[in-house]
Amino acid sequence: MLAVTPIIEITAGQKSFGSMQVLHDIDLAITPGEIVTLLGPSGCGKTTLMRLIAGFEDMSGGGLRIDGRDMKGIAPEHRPVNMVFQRYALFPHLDVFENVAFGLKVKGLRGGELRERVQRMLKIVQLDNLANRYIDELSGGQCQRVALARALVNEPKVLLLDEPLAALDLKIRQLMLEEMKRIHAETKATFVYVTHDQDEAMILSDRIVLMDRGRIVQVDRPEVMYAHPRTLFAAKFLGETNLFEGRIVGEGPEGLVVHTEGGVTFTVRAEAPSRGPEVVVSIRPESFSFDPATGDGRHSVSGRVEDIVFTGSRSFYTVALQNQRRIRVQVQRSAKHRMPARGAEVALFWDHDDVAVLPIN
Amino acid sequence: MILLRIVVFAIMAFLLAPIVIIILFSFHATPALTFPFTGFSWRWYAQVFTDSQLGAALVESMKIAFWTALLTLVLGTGASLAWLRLKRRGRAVIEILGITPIALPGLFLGVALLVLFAQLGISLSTVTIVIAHVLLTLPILLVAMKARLTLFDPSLEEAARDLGASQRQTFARVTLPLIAPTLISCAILALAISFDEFVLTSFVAGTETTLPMYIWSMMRRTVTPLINAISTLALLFSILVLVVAAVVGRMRRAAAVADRTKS
Repeated sequence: MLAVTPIIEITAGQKSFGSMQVLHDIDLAITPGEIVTLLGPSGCGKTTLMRLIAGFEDMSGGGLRIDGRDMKGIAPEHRPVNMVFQRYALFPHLDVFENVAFGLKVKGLRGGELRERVQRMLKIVQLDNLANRYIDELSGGQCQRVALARALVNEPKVLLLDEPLAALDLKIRQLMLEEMKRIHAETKATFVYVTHDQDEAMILSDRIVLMDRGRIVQVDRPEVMYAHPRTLFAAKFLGETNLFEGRIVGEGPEGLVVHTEGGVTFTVRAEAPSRGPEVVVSIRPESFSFDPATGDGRHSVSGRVEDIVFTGSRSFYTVALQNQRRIRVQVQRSAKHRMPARGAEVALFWDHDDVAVLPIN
Repeated sequence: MILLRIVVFAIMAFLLAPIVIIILFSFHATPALTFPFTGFSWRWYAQVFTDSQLGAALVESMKIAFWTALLTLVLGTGASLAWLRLKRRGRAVIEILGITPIALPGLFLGVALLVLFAQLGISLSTVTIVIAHVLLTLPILLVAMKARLTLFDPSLEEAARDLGASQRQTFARVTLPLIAPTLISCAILALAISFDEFVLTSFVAGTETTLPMYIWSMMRRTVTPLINAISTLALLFSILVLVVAAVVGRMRRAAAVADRTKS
């Protein structure tokens, strides 16, 4: 990692619109060839950050280097990046071929080489049979492919994607995600992908950059961020979780001991957050189990099954503890174990490696 | 369904009947403009091409219409581009200032212009007529462009820049082609408005005679199918322009597509 020069490097990036600061102290290095997702709720600054990289907005402070070059004062047309816009921004007065050829034509490419490169790209996105169609004759998924092809044909060092799947329905979204991975593997470009959808981010990304209110909250691989969120925001934004407010009461050989409001005691193998003993403990629904063998053998809590939602491969249980505190539990369907019924008294087990302790906000 | 068809045909007939009548009587052998149709003749067409006064008025009107359309187009395109880049308040200013001239009756506008030109010491000529006409056509273009431009997606210009186009290339390859259809139809409308403008023109024409003014003075004496012949020729000219534009467009597109399959 250290030996590779980052393709994008932002240091102390700031952005304000008038008196409103929308990006604070952005430090980010992106490695060539990786898929990085800028993830966060709407208004967190992820789109602004992307527009800074594309050159549509100027930074109010800090530095941006792309491929080692300082981008200060460099117009969008001179940056080695291309963008796939949220609603595609395809040119309605041009057909598919001309849309894809646009970037090459303005660079002065003509004749056989132009035709060849456009056609090769159309083949990659599987649109070679629709080259003569106009944009209003295409479906949403096809428009998406044209937008990808139009950007990628220029062989950008970095492809920026601004919520490219937001306008598609769920089924096509799944297909396009796989398609995107395939195209990424084929083109070997660096992808910077903006989304507010955690599923898209987890499916696609090598690394997720989680943003909240203009700041980067955490940068990690999806599985690491899911298992070890570093803030309450990260734990809540990525996936479902059970949160217990509590207090660190000591540190044993197994880790921190936390007493929580539910009367449940957790031990956590983690560093104590720096901000005092008040903490929040996060544990994912799938980390609970009714089977003593899957826990660490030392932790359990008992309760009564209140509700069951069966979705096929998985079931979601709501278990109420003695003090009426409710816990969400997700279990995989299994032929080996009998699952508890509604109203049953159960014991829940977990492994302390699956528990995260977070600073209270 | 049958009723619907009848209604559609009735509307078409209502719209097209005057045109058919005009064309029919332009070939009338006698000066009468009413039925019965008594005989076929080219005499009115011949008169169009031989009447030198009429010819002069026609040329004058065409000249004025051409300059009016051109000026409207240039000013209107500029205003449209400004409108695209302005915030809400700036847009409102352009809209209000731009539309005011057609809110006034032509009569008052004519008097006002006449006084203004006199105050400034500008003698009445073709130039003053063109200025007066632009005053009428520019607001119409602005209204039409506003309707078109509210649908204009500004990210199209960003996309062009992102793909490596300079500001000039973006204008030439994206912005202009997208607003061109509206601009062209506005220009044609400007041509038509200018060509038959009468009220305003009569105030600022000075010694010039435009076609509507000539026809007006002619009609005070007699009404003949000469007017029908002129109308028919104008109609023919419009159709010709449209057909040529369509054919050229089709040929260019076919050539572009054929070019791709070559290798």
